[in-house]
Amino acid sequence: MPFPHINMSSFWVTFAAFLALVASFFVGDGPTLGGWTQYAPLSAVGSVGGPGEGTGVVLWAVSIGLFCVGQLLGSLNFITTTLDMRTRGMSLWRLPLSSWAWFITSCMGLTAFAVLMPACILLILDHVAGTSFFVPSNLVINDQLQPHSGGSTLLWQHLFWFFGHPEVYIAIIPGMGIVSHVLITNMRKPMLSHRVLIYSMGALAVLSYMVYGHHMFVSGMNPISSLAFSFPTLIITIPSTIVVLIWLGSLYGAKLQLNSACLFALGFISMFITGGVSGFFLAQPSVDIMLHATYFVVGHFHMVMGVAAMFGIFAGTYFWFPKMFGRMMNETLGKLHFWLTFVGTYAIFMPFHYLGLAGNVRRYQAFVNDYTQRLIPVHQFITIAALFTGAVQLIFLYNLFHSRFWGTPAPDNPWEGTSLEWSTPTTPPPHNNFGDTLPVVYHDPYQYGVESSTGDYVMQTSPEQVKTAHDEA
Amino acid sequence: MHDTPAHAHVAHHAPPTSFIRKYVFSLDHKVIGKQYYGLALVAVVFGMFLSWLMRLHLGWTNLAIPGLHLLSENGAPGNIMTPEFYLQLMTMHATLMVFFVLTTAPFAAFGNYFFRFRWAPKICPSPISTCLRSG
Amino acid sequence: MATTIQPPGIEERRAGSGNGGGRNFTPTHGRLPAVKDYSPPPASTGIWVLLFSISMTFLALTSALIVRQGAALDWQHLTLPRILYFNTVVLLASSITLEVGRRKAAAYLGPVAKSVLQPARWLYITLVLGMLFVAGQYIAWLQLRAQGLYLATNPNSSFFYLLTAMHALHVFGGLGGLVRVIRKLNRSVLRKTTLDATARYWHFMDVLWIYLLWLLWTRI
Repeated sequence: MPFPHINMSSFWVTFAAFLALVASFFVGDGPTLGGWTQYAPLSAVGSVGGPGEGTGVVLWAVSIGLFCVGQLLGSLNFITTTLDMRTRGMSLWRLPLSSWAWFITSCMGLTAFAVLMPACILLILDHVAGTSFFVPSNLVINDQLQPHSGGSTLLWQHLFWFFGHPEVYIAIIPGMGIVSHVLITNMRKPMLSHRVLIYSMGALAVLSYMVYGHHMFVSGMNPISSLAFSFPTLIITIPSTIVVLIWLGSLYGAKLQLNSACLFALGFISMFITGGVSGFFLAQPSVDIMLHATYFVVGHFHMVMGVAAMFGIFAGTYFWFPKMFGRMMNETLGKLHFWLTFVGTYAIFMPFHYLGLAGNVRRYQAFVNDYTQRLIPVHQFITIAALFTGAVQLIFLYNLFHSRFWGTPAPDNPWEGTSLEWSTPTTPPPHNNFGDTLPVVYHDPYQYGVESSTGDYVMQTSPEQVKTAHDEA
Repeated sequence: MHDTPAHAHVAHHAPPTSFIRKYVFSLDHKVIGKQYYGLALVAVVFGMFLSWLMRLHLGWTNLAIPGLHLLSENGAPGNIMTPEFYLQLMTMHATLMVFFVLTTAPFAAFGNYFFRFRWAPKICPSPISTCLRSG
Repeated sequence: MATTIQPPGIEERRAGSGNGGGRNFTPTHGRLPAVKDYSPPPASTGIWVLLFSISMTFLALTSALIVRQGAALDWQHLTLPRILYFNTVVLLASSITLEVGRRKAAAYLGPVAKSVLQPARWLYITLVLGMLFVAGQYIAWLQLRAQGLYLATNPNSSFFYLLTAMHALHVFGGLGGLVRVIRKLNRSVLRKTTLDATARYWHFMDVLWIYLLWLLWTRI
């Protein structure tokens, strides 16, 4: 890769960010309480805002600022590698879908994180330097007039959500890429339309910058701008739907090998659809007025981003563990992990939608009104489901660590995949990945279902010519 | 007809030998990918633990969770969560999960490991001095 | 090379899923596409990517400035310290000297080896001019302080200090890059692409400063 030192420093900067965040538990009166969105003026007024609003906010902002720098450095490497350092024969269209997803994500990260970083700097300055970028005049907290003047609370929201919406796509698009890659390998056929999938992921990336205001429908900004944000939000459902339909259409008629990775990939699709559908409702300002800051939103983003991306991570883990560590993970435990997690997460997050529709506001820690008190049994059910699902993850952790040391030794290409990572000379791969000779790519990435000397697939690096149905037509 | 593959030899660097260079400050994208994965694993366990604390409080508001005062003396007097502490836990749960799990694991961890497998180091066709001449 | 080969006993469960009907993308026949063997040098792409993200950062700060200006009535225009204009000239001169040095270094890297002193000299001059720029910026801050304008005095001064400090921070990075280039040149291990990328970064700092100066002059 082009900049190995920058790559290494990107990890260590991210690690420093993690330490700064965890440190906020141990300083002063604890971590910040303003939510991950850190809305002003609460986040900017200092310790008068509550426990953790002094040092806690500064540590949070330092941590996130460092995180942005780390991700920018990482994205730099990804983009440069994609554009400049592909091996011989690897044209852009011969990239597997996972690589396209990582490339698109790194382009998004470049733009989004570069906006969050100055926002964090402004927030830090409001705390330590007495500036007032985000705190308005005449603000009275606990009968004390705050010394700030003239800041704009909405400015923080704009800066944050300009980053915040692309961020959620940064979280999900790599999952889409991993899931596509895993599904194709287990379907033994390519996607219905490889290029349209790439175009759709690209469209998601581009549109994601135009929709960020849908987090701010009730913020007090001009209602006309709500219309301007609602329209692209509805438009962005189109590439999302295209992606889902391509997956479903490709799955139709496929003989799936249902290993754990494939199950989690299917679970991803399920979560993405279920979580995404609630997004349609939230995209409309008139409906969002009722549902904003309720558990409906919490259910939506947990399913579509939290659980779906987790399933993508699990799919990638089960799929690539043999290559990374040279051992297979336990299939039975993997399937058990999947089914229990799948049922468990639905049990946790589906009731959230009901709670939201019933008017249960989010970020409340107790319920004192009679209409919310009646919802406490639902919360209790969710809690039990959450504890159960959390316990199930121990199966995964056990599987991970046990297989790492005592798993069945893995062959070089256990899933009979076509892409380059399966063509390494040893498993785990040697230090220079491919040994002394560089791979040369002859084929498109997903030549499955063909008749070849290796079976029903031909690897990208194989010089063998194969006949496909297209030739016969 | 296809070309015979060019068995171009890479001007490769010798693998590192010291523990620090191999496992800590490694330049190898595979190690960096695994480091990111490990970071995400720690973050997800911690974030999930925070979510359990939140959920226990939401279901049973005045529940005394044993050991909670160790996490915050002011936030959990008598092991019962104060409202502010709930918000603090919620903020940390979200920040850890969104940044250190959902951005790190699918993108940085798997990406760093497997992205590089699509690629090859830039072929330096001749000794390094010629590289200087032609850039 | 056979074009159709009977595979030895594919397992039933994997056979015949089809290949998507063959309508999806062009099947290959094992030939390499006409891939250009030339791709841009990584340093070049990398620096463009970096400059793009730096631009996004300053765009965010610009929009913060514009919004903050309109948010309240406490916007009090301040007179820019005159030394800023001198600093601008210094930075422009450093860009010129860097470009001269870069071309001389490129000639040095060509077939006819000339003395290494010439390009190095110009790079040293650039370094000195760069450090002079940063010192001049610090003097501008001192001048502003003498007027009683500190970071938190009013939003104008906040943005002045913030924008000039962010720019100076990135100029420091550019100085580090220059030092690295000079050291490599002296050890004769400098690549042309490294020098080009560093020069491009430095010129961008120049352009960025002119933009910031215009922004400060019109709005602050």
